[in-house]
Amino acid sequence: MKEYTNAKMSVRQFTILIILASIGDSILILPTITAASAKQDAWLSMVLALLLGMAAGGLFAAIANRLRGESLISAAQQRLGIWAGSTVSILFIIEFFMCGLTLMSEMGQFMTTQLMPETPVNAILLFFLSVIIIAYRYGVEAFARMSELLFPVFMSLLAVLVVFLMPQAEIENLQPIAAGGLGPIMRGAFPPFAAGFMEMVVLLMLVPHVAAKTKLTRPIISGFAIGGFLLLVIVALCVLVLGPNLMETKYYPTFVLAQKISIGNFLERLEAILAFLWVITVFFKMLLVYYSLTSGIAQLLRLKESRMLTIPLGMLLLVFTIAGTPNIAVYNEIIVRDYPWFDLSFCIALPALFLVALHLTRKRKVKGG
Amino acid sequence: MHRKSPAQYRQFDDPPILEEYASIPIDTMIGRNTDRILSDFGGSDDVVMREIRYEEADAAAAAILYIDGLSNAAAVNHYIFDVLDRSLNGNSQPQQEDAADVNRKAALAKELLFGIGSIKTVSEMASLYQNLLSGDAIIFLDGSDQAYCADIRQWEGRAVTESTNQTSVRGPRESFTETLRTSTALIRRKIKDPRLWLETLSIGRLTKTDVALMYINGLAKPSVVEEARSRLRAIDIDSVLDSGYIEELIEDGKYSLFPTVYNTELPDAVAAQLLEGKVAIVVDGTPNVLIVPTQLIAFFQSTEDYYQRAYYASALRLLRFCSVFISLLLPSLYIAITTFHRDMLPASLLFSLAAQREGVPFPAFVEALVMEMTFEILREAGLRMPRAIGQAVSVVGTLVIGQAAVEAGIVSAAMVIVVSVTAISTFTLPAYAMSIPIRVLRFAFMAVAASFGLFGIIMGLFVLLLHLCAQRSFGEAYMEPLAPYRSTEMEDALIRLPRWMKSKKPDTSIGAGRGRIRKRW
Amino acid sequence: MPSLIAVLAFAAGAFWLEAPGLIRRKLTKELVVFILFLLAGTAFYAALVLEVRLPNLFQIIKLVYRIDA
Repeated sequence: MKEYTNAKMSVRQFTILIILASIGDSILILPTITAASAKQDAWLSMVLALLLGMAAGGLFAAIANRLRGESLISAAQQRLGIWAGSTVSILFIIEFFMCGLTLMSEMGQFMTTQLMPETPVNAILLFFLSVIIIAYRYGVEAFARMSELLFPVFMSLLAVLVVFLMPQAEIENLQPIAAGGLGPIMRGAFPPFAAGFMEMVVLLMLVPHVAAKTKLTRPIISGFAIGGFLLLVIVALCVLVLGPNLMETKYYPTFVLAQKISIGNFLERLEAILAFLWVITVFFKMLLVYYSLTSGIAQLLRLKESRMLTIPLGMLLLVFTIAGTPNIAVYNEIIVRDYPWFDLSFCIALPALFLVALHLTRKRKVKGG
Repeated sequence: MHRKSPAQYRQFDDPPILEEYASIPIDTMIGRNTDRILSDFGGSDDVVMREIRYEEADAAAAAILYIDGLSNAAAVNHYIFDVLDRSLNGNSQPQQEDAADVNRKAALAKELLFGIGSIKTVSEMASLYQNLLSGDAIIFLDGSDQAYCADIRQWEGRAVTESTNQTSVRGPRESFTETLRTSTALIRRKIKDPRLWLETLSIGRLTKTDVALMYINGLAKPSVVEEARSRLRAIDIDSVLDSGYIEELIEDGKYSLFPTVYNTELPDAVAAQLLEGKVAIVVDGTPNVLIVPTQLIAFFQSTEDYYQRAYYASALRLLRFCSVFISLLLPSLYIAITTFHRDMLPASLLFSLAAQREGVPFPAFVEALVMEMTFEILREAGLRMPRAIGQAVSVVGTLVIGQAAVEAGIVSAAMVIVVSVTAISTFTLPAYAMSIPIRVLRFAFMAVAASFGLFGIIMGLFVLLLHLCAQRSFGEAYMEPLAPYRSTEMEDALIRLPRWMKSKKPDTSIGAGRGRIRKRW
Repeated sequence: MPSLIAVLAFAAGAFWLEAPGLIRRKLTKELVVFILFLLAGTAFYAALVLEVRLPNLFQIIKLVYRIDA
């Protein structure tokens, strides 16, 4: 067992983790949600979300650069004093926990409805969580290296998906462009912005482990850019191949996409490709969230070790996931209508306040010292 | 001769405590020395003692001790006995130590040296035993508190032949032998550079096996060499009969299925890795040489890749990677697809598979398990069987039993194919050490696939990758150069770039040491 | 009922896995925190298994953030 303050990942690994995690669960549910508002302009919503995401990235980068090698929560504890620091930390931890719940819920729902309907969802969730816990216990270096290893695999599979679906793309599906005006597009941009970019506040917990001599702006911004671009490609592909109606009605349009691949009437129904893709992205996002949660609690309570928290936290996550999703339809409604606002307050407003506080305390120190 | 009979030497019940022997000096009276030695050996018959006695006194003027079988008995006669006889000529009684005596001894030593070429002096029993048991002849002189050790080692050893485990089509075929000096010489012949350094240690309380540490000074990282040295010194064990003993005690991955120490029988493999800055550990008594640090990739590489044409070698390497995946995952994929994801197969294949599985009573997982276990049993049996029967039984086993099982309806034909393909692809790996974890993990993957299907296989792969990524070997990451990614090293990892395409400047992370030697291709 | 035993066994297993290391290294604060969290997790898991109604955290979010709820 080692306390992982020595474990370092390279800047490249950090960027890759950001890319994979920002795609996260969006690859599965996002196209439907966006299409619900923007229909055939879903891809424009995605462009807007990407731009907003870069702005969020700028916010996170600003915070990251001020953290000076500490993590989000340990910095809050240090710089804001006991009361303010702990409050801010607890709020962040709540965010991490809820984010973890959403990821687990979506994963469970997908598996139960599409891939393995006969298997009880609790077992799937337990299995998934066990692997996450194992990954956490192996340490930052291990899973950072793993992401570096899996990234080329991910990109090639995605390329395969795109290349084999291009023949089925119909440009008419994009039209009419912006028929409903800017409103629907903006409404459609909110969920992807939340899921893909706002929730990436978790990357601020990884800052102490990045071996970077310079500022972290470049990896964060480029990670968001690439991740967002890939999401854009996927959403666009969904619109082009499936058309807005199909996108709206099916819960997992990307899965339908994969089912549509047909190579010479022989290789069909290659959902396995998509399965591998989204497992990678969901896994890494969940891992980052879980990492933030566990390390965050350990740092809040100033513990010397975080490993023993893994199993109890896993139990809590599991229980509240099951309690929180009795019904897919209800869950989806909340996710679309209310959750993005939760994200906005905890992932944008709170960090923004934190940044201001950081700035002020530094100024105060400079003045007083 | 007043030597006691062997039975009389065996009357001591408590064996000597050799750890104390470092402080016991050599007695000036030869008789007491030889008595002690012979009684320590319990009068073993292969310990030969020859004395030159004074004519008049009942004492020995000189004595020679050696172990028959480890020493060259003819050399004892020609070089030692004759010389001693001549120099002691004329001394009929014990002499006092005086100036003439000292000169006599010096002259004697010089003559012995001319004849034999390697003379050491020892003054206490521990080193005396060390040298005696390594094959030296010990020469005692009356009145001297030092003994001479003459290196006349000679024993029957296996000749340098072709390796049976690691065969190659093109490239050198010599393999190491059980004699340390022969093995190190084979390496020296490949690298004729004084910067190839060799240190010898003696490991094992009872076996006192000679272990040599070899590395190229300037290429090998000093920290790695020091780490290897300290780990070897820390070994406290009774016996070292094979490099496997040492491997277990110095490796990083004690709880891992995967080997973190590379071993080979081929000198050219060792030389190639020494040139990359690695450290070789040669163990007396076994032809298996250890190399540290090592990476996962090393187990997929064969020296022959570097002798054949680059394109061919690259293709073969890629084939090996595919084989590993097949070997690890094919049974699990079969189980996952037939149990959970039947709609992924084309319709015609689905129908024929369903038809095959019609009469089979067991679920796919049990089928696969039974077939794999059967195959593992057959494989192990085939290794140990006498050569005459071995071939026949393996043919019988695979063809007839498999066929019979299919016809009896116990397993489906597709399963037999899966298992055979899996088994054969395991053999494409050049390093046997890597096939063991794969065989074990195959069963784990089958279990996971039976429970969670394709999702389970993917998660299992993640855990496997995590384990590999977390593994270190002597300070270097196990998964280099894949992760962390090192672009210059990658030229050699998954494929083999032709030499003229390689970048000239080596990446400085692995084995750049003090950096004064540059690798030239 | 059997699932309840499974949950308790699981919690015991977790305790047996982590506690000795903590005790050996005399990390008392960490041990206390661990036990608290483990108790919480076990309690909730047991509640789930015994089909006690657990709060749905997403409904809470809806309550807080839904303007026209």
